[in-house]
Amino acid sequence: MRDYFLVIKGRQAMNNEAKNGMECSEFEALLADALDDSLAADARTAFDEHGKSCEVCGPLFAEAWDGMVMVQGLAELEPPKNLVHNILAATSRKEATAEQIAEEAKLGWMERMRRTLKPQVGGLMHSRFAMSFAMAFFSLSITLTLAGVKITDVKNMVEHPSMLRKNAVLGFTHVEAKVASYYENLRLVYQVQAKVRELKKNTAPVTDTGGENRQQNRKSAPEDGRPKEYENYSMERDGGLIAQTFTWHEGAQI
Amino acid sequence: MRLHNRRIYNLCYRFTNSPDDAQDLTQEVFIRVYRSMASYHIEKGAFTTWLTTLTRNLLVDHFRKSKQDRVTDSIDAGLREEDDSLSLGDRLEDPRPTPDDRLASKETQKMVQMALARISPDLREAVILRDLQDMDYKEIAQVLRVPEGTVKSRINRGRMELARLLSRNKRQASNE
Repeated sequence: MRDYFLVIKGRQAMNNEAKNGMECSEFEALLADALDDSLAADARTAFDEHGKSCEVCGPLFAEAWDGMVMVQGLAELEPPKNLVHNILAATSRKEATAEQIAEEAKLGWMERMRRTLKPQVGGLMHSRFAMSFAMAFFSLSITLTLAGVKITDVKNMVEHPSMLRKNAVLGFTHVEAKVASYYENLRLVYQVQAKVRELKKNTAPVTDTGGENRQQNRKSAPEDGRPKEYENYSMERDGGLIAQTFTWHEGAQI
Repeated sequence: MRLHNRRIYNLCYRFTNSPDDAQDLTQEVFIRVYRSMASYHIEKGAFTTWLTTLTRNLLVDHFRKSKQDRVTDSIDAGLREEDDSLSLGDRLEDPRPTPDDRLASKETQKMVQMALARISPDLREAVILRDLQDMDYKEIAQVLRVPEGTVKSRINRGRMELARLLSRNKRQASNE
């Protein structure tokens, strides 16, 4: 910074009065050419005369000369021996990479994916692990399908984590409603079957065979007094399956 | 590549004042040359000028990244490390070809290099291209993208600043 102010101060000290036919600004403009010794003879004479007579420009020339000599005295350095080798290796690698890109462009996406995955999950690409992963994925997909989970739901959950709870509650409610509906339908079927059975029993004529059967059943009734149930599944005339249940309590039918 | 790597390495080293950075940058220069070789046309100018322009751009990028500052490198510290009984003036003025000359010359070169690293990048690159790379003003103007008058002005100011820095250190060395 101090040097910068010295330069500014020196420039301010320059005046534009012509000394020996040359102004200070002109001297400064010719300084580089003078150092290169490329000035014409008359210009050189005027330049030298100005430098000798001007107390600002003379030291400037001397400083610039010293600086030039110092820098030009710097020896050329020998680059490291491995530099050329490293450059060749780096550029060769770039070339190989470009060729690989062109080659990979011709391959299918499956092969490209396999090559991409191979370095990271090389061991996992073995057939045993691949089969295990496939089975696990298959099981998971079946479970999710049976549970009514769709891929879009999973995607929404991932994209909107706040929707996770809401989706879980909605899913549970949906499944609960399905189960309740199933049992309601089942109960209705049983009720209808019971009504049909009752109507048939009321309308059917009383026969002795039924009494004999009951006699036989009474004979084989348990002796310990506990009620015993006999189930008799038989086909009716119309082909419908009717479930009949008889309960015996000490010889009385309920 | 074998023709130019020495010149590019020297240019990078003189600008960065670091052998490691110079090596990395030289390598990067040639990788860039390799990539952008297709963009070079002989009509645009000499290959050397094109290569120097590419190197200079890389050096400017490197300078901006590393935020190198003139103040960070201390020429005084280097001087204290290398100081011995002889002053810089004695070393410079001693014309005898003694074995110490090599060491003195080496130390002087180190001081000049450190002084070079302290001047502003604009002045430094102009001085390096002119005094170390022997490029003419027209080529330098093309590389730096400034008028020839500005190039000459920068070179003059850079040389003067270098001389002042070295003179000041010479005085300090004499006083110690």
